[in-house]
Amino acid sequence: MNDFLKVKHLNMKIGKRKILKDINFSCRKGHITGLIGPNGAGKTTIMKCILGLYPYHKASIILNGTDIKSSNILNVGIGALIENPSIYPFLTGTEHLVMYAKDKNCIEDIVQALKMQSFINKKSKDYSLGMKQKLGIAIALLDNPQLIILDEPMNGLDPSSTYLLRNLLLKLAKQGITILISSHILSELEKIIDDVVMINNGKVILNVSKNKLEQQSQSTLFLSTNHNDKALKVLLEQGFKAQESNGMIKAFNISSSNLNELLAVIINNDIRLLGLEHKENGLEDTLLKLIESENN
Amino acid sequence: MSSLINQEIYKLCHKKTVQFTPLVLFLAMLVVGIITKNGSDNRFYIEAGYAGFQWITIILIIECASMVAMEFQYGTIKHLIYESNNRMKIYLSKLLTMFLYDVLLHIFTLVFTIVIKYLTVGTNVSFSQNYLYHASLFQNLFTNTLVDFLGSLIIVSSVFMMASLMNSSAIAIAVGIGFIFIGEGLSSALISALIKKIPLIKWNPFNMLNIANQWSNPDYFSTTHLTQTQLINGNILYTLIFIVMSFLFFRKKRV
Ligand SMILES: Nc1ncnc2c1ncn2[C@@H]1O[C@H](COP(=O)(O)OP(=O)(O)OP(=O)(O)O)[C@@H](O)[C@H]1O
Ligand SMILES: [Mg+2]
Repeated sequence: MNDFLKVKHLNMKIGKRKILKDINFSCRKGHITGLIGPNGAGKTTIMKCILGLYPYHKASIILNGTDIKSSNILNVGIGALIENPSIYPFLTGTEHLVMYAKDKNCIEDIVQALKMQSFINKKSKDYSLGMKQKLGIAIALLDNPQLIILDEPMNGLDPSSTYLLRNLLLKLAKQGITILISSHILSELEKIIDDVVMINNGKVILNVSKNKLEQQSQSTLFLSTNHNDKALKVLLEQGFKAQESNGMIKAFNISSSNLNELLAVIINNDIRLLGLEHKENGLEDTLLKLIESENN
Repeated sequence: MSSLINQEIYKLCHKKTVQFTPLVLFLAMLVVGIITKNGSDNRFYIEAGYAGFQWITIILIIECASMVAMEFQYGTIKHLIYESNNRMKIYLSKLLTMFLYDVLLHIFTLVFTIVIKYLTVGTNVSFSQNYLYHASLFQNLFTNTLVDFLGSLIIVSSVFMMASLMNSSAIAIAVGIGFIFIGEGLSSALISALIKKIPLIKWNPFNMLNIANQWSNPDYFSTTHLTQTQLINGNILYTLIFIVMSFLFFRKKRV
């Protein structure tokens, strides 16, 4: 029970429309939790509720053991980047950091970690999209927050900056900092997150650790045999999902539980395997399938 | 709260418009000083701070409106809210910062008036000579500065209210400046038309803007129908009403 942030029964309405419907999830201390879901699912809204930017009904949001509604004074530091970075065009990057930071000593390290030295002393109205984004991330990291909330932080970052950010977040998580992050770049997210919370239409449809998700994840097997027609026929007879494409047989939804069975079917029917290729489905495929089945 | 006020002061001091304000104010006042140098009513212009009080009213409107509206325009309000977790504190820190800026602008005007008097009319017009209210010219300038400061509070608070209500600082600035230019005329038209039927009309908020005019020119009573003391009380009362209302709007404003 190391839940640093716990969201219980979070409901939110804007006007008459229900935006969030009974959201429950928690983020464990020192873990990176990925908040994912299609556009308009409610990810940003959840983050805003946690930060007290939106009023919410009948919910409790518990941060490090304290309900944030009941105590106006936050007992832990929170750093956040929501939608667009909080930037005043008439200030330079350094001026932002100096103004926001309570502990001015950490500024230098953050600037170096994100490699912002080349533009940090320019007025931020002259920044590019990625520079603004980096400044927004730097602001979120000020004063050693215990909880970091990042909404699409990879927006506009180039590959090497994304790499820097990834390593930085992993380092922070190792130090025990809890991170809630949303992103549409699932292939990037996949590399850093420990847990996944998936939102669709204002509801949590999945809340598992990444390891568990990987175990469940199914992959596609490409077979080439000396007798493709026959192989396809027997596989379909045995209830496998398969089809022929480009002279190969594509078998879907293969996991460790049915792989042996599939091979047995082939071999027992005197078909010779000429080649075998295994394609692991990433987080992306798994989640796309989930949303598809959810929407049906 | 003190860190929020520090942030507000930091932002204000780093704005180009604010940095150039003293220079522009000085030049604008100097122009009036030079033009009126050989006129007969030197004492009036000195007492009125060479129209510096009019300029700082406009500066205050602009800075007040942008102080509130820019946070919503740049999305920086999100950072302020999650950092302080209290909108009342955010609002009060802005109000207090503007109050300090208002004080500072009045000090500038007072000091510049003294400097410009020596630059233009030199010692021909003495600060110690008698002027209104059986007081010296300098005392008149000083009390006029205080009265104008009191009168500026209603402007600060009403512009805060408009900026909390509207999403654009440009609209809040336009309405605020319109308010001071047509407000006095509107009020005197309302009063002369309706004072017989509705005596309370003399307490309309626009009439409060006459406080500094009436101080410099006691004949204004025939326009305002309010005594000096009533005007002072009215200004304080409306300022408080506007402060409370603008906080209510500010609290409800969507992030
Ligand atoms: N200010 C608002 N007024 C009305 N509806 C809103 C408002 N803000 C958000 N919504 C609605 O709330 C829902 C959730 O929005 P939210 O911004 O949380 O989505 P999201 O998951 O962050 O999407 P994205 O991936 O596009 O960032 C959307 O359907 C949106 O239409
Ligand atoms: Mg979003």
